[in-house]
Amino acid sequence: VSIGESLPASRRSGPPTDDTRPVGQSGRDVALIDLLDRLLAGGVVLSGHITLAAADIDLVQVDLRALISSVPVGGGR
Amino acid sequence: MIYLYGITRQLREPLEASGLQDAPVEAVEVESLTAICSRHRHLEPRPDAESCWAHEHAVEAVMNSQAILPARFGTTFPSVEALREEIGRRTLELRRCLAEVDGCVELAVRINPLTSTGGQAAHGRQYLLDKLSAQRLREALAESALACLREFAVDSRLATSQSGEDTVSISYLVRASGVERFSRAVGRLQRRWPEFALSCTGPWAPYSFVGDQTPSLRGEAA
Repeated sequence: VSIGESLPASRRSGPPTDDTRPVGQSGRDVALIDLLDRLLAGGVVLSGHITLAAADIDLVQVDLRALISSVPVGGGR
Repeated sequence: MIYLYGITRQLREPLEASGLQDAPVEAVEVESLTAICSRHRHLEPRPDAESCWAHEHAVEAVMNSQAILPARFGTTFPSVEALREEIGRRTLELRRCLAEVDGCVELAVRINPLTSTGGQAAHGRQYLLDKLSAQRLREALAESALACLREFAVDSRLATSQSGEDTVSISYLVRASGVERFSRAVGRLQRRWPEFALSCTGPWAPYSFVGDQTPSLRGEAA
């Protein structure tokens, strides 16, 4: 996970852990939102079934503007 | 029930990962392809954080060593036979798609104004004008970002975002060897646009470049 120019050489992957990704909580939330966008709208669609149980999407549908604004950019993690 | 995480070629390395419900992730070979999946007695996939990361973790277990077409979250089949039948029917298409993303990863860039562009007009003409203005700003932002980052990417697409409408979200397909270079370019863009907050996450599997989704914007071979 990276904010601004600080995308690290090591992979971002989840779920984030402090020892592998020295980023703030906000960075993790951004990564989760990016992941959600991709999982729910991207990926190969085969003619199996797309099954989604009712989810607590509200947990990650945060105010991204406020969230990102609180993150130091330009090298901050 | 079979839950599908993605499709790849024949595995080069043994697969050791767990997926949804901590189920072991299996490889099911179908002709020249391999489905990455897990078996469940009962499963109702919920796109919560834990399940999303579990799906991603299974995808990454393969992505670390070879190209994979990640499946959309929640893709299930009633049986292995049904899975084999569907993949077998689309083998050529899936192989072509794998070739297109081979050696590449996806990076997600978000551009967000530090001040709201939407205004607080209650209703009427001003509201529509504010909406139009915000829309034009987003389009201009997307165009600028594409122009600045295009040379570092193979392809790019406007992404569908769960976040606010002020946000411009673009997916870039980048060669794995070019991730650092792309990251530095995002940093330069951030310095040029202090009035916007940029974020860049990844590398992800190429979720935005493996299906019939938003048409490609413009990209050039890096």
